[in-house]
Amino acid sequence: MEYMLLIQASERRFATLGQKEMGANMEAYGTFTKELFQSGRAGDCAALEPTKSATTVRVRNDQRSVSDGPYAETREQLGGYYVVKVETPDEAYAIAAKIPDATGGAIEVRPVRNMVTPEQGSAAKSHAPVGKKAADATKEYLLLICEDEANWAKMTPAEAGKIMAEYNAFSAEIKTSGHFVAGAQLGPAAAGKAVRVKNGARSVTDGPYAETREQLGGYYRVWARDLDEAIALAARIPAARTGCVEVRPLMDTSAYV
Amino acid sequence: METTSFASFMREDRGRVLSALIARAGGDFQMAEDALSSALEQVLREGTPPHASLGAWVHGVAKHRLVDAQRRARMMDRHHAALASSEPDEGYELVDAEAVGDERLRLLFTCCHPALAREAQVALALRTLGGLSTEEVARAFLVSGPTMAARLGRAKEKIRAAKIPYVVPEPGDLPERLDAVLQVIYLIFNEGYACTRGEMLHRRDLCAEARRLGELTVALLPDSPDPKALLALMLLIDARRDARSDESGRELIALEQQDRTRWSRDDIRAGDALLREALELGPPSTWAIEAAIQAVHGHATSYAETDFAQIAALYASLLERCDTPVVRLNAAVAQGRARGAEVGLEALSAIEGDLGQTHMYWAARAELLRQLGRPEAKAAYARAIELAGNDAERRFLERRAAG
Repeated sequence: MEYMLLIQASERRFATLGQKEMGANMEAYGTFTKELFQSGRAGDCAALEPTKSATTVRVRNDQRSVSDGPYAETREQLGGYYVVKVETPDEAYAIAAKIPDATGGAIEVRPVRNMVTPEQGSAAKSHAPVGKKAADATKEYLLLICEDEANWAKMTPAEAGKIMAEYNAFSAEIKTSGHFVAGAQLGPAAAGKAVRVKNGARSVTDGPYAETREQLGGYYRVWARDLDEAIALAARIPAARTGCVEVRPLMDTSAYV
Repeated sequence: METTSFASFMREDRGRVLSALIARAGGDFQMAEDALSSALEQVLREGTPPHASLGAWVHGVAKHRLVDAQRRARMMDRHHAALASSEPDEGYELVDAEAVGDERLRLLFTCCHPALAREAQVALALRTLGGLSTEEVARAFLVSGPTMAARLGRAKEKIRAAKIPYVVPEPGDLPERLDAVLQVIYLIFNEGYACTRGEMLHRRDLCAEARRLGELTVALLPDSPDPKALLALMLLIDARRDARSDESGRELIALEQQDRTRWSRDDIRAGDALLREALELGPPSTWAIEAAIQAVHGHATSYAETDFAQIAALYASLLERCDTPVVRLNAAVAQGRARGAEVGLEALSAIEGDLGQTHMYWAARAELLRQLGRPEAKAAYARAIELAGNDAERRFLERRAAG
């Protein structure tokens, strides 16, 4: 089974760190990431630029609307994620507790329902499962799919099947075009847990992590030329019509991992 | 160095040079601005060589500074340390303004990118294209310098981190993106024309900046009707600047009482011509219809002789294109003029739900009630005065209520 470990931490606290503390934090993440890969349990993972560089995309009546900022104002913000392959949920919680921000912030642990992986045969040489990259792509973005889970419950199986087919077609298309890096569909937010470490002791509480009208339902990680291309990709995700897609640029952490 | 040529550089050439530098810096606003200010500092200190134009020399020095900064940035990036030594040293050179080409259109579209908050779009446009200092932009919006500096810093950081492209949008995206640009310019104009905050009624500096940005957009997109229509609209409204307030500049004079000999005939003529050009280029946009409404006012010799039937008809076609409460309010007022205050009041009642909490609604209602000699006018004025945000508006309403 696979779990997505979402790093929820206060950006405000992060901004007060000095250069030395910041460096130490990055080194700690680097060490954690290397160990996770050596253990063979790591899937896709990435660090995100702060939410002030986020853009939210919605499509209503075929009209695209683009706005500044993340889709929800929360006390803690998504700073990055790991997807892990484990045998039991407890194993996922144990890994989550080792993430540096489990102390001070929280790690939201969400079951992955369906991992979208690169086409067979493409080079997965590093931790980032890079497929065939579009020639003019220079930057990676995370497209966070946010929608009211109740929408799915209201659909007939035929309607839900149609939307799933749309997702599959989109995935296939962006794999061919060289935009796709990774993606996942998550299980319901209520099935999630929050892992925190306080004074060295681990606590696991029941989800959902944040009470928002729309919940994180999955993601695509893509290569794009610039923000405009990332926005155009986000607008083609079915959830852009019913919920929204938050576009977050990835942080370059190559110096640490 | 002569201060006049320096001031004229700041007004005329700064935006052009800055946009070229941003293009060269790969869209990094901060790096380009730093290079320009460091070059300006040097040129102010050392002067320009004989026969070199100030603009070309500043541009040349700034380009050199930018190359230095880029080299330093690469040196700091340990992955690129090896590349740094292979960059040739270009030395100072004169930059031919014509050969550089106009990068300002890219700058305009980047400043008004929808992934930036509207207030950041406005601030960036004034700072980079308008050439206002951060302090001046802060004063224009009545926030502190550090607050505005932080707002501009966040916007520039987002452009860099999210990689907002430094490009003119693809033709398919152009209408939507151009509209954002025009909205920003009109917002600047409106803030100047009817300050939403504070004691001042009218800020000519902001109106003038908006006109300059409007002219720039027209010059950069000569085949597009909308920039022409927006500039026409601003000119036709701004033509009344000297007549719409008293000598102190603090008391509002209604259209009805304005001395029409003080309207700028030059602006009205120029606005008319631009509106005609816009209408020849394409079907009338909302900008063009609004400009046409102002043109009808501009041509009337007195308030009584204004063709209100024509204005009401223009508002009706504006409503078909953009049905917003504010347009409906103006349409109701025009109806009241064209077909009697009773008709106006009836139209107005339909929008109380939307605008009942604004002074505009109650002021319009009070005027119509007063024309009908109805006693409820007094309470309507009182409500309008209570809701007015601008001191001059408030005093104006108090005078109307008393008179």
